[in-house]
Parts: sequence; C-alpha cells; structure tokens
Amino acid sequence: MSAATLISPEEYLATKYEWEPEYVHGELVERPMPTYVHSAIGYRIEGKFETAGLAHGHDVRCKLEPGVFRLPDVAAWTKRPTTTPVEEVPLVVVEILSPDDRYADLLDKLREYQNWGVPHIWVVDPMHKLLQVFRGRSLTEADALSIPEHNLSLTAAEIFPEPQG
Amino acid sequence: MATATLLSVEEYLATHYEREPEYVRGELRERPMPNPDHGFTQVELGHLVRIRAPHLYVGSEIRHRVEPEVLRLPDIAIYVTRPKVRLPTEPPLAAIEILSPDEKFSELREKFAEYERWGVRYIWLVDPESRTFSIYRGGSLLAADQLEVPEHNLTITIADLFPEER
Repeated sequence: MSAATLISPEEYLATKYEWEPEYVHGELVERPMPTYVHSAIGYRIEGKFETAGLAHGHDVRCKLEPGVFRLPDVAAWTKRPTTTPVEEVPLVVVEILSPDDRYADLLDKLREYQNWGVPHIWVVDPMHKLLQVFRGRSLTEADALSIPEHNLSLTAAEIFPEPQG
Repeated sequence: MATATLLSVEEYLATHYEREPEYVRGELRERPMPNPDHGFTQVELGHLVRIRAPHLYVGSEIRHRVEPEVLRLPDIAIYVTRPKVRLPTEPPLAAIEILSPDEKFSELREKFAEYERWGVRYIWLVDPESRTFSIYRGGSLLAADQLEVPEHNLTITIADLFPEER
C-alpha cells in the first residue's frame, strides 16, 4: 500500500525483528500483536492438530513464492517440514482474526495460500465466535472445521469455550 | 470497540460532520475516505443499475435506521419504491458496499449481519482493487461472477463494471 523503500528477501530474512513481519514483494507487512484470546485459541487448535498426529506450529515462517513470506497463525503438515523458511505446502493453515485486520489484506493472504496449494484454509473470528472456510474464492461460514481423512474436526464450542465462571 | 463517550441518536442526527460517520449503539463508526477507485465504481454501478432496471431507484450513501440504535449509510442502496421519509427504516431491496483498502473485516461483517437481520434481500460487496464481487448470505461471503436480481431482470457482470480498457 504505502510507497515504502523496498527491501530484498535476503535483507528481510537476515533481520531480527521484535515481532516478525510478513514480506510481500519487497514490502514488510506488519502483523497485529496477538491478544490473550488470540493466542489461547491458537493453542487450542494446535492441541487438536497434535491429537490428530500432524506436525504443527504457530507463526512459522513460510516461503510461498520467491518474493512472498507469510507466517500463518497456525499451520499443520502431514510430515514434519525440513526447510527453513518452510517451503513444504501445509495441509492446513489457520488465520485467527484481530479487530484491526483489513478485509483486503486478509483476502490477499488467503488467495496466496490457495495459489500455493494449501488444501484447507480456515479463518477463525474470535470477535464474533465464527468459523469460516476459504475455498474457491469464497469465505463460507461453517459449524465445524474438519479434515475427515485425518479424523479432525473442530467445533465452535471447542475453539471458543465459555469463560470459566 | 473503543470505550468512547456514548452519544445519543438525537445528538448524532443533529450534528454536521465533514464525512458522515455511521452510528452503532452510541458509538460513531468512521467510514474510510473513498479513493478514486471507490468513487468511480460507486457511480458506475449505480449508473448500470439505472440503465438496466429503470423502474428501480438507486441511492448512494442514504442514511438508514437499520435498528433503533443502528444507523448505516450503504454505499449504494436499490429500492423498488422510493423512500418517502428522511430516515428510512424499511430495508432496501439491495445494499452494496464498495470495499476500501482500509476497511476492517470485523466491521464489515458486523454491518452485513445487520443488513441481513434487517431483511435486505441482496447484500453485495464489490472490490474495485481485485475486481471481484462477493455475495453475503448467512455469515458467508461467496465469490460471484455477477450480481443478480432475477425478479427485476437485473444482471451486472464483473466485465460490465470493470471493462478492461476505458
């Protein structure tokens, strides 16, 4: 968006950041700092991935194409990735929304995951307690996020538990 | 979101703003300043609807009372009959939002959910930057190649709204 000075992928990869930005064609894309709710939801989803026997991680730097690096909030692979940054296409990526996320930026990112070949692209909205699946350029609301061949299913009740009274 | 001082509906309606915000239960919701893409798309889409379905009425940024405490200004609204009151409470046939780069996803979906509860039959999102259409229905944003109101023989395709060469 902004006419910032472009940096090279090498420069991006060599820099230590306090809170790792993403990198898209020469520009750094800031990510919102996660809140407690954001990170608690991420851990819950990772727990389910663990149970399903998947290799998983949060904020893992992935190389989608030579000029595009993204850090999905949560991602899982059928086999443990061996490259750094990760070039193996995940089975599933999950974006957990923050109030400040812009729609246009979110769609850009989801389309990139799709072009990269990620079969399951999920969007979790903690503000409205909604689950959505991105497929075929549509963002469709779902009661549960599931990958049947891995016996994996996450319902809204599991992802957004009622606060403990 | 912010814990701003709450404002009454009356106060909101009596104030003149440089760029009219929306009003949601005591809070003002700023609308992003439209960029040229937004402006051209808004006029062009309204124009296409007027030509193709001349019996329908098209309004831009008309203030509506969506709920007693929620006032919104759809970028474009399409009506079967022209609203006679200053602050319409009846839902239009269609409500269309043109996406601005700064639009927050969370606020957009809140607005669309309100339109749906209100009874708006066609809720559309037009993104001039990626040249895409989405249809909002039951919490989902479904990609579409065209915007359609079959009962009024109205169809607008992506190519109609965004011709390659202009």
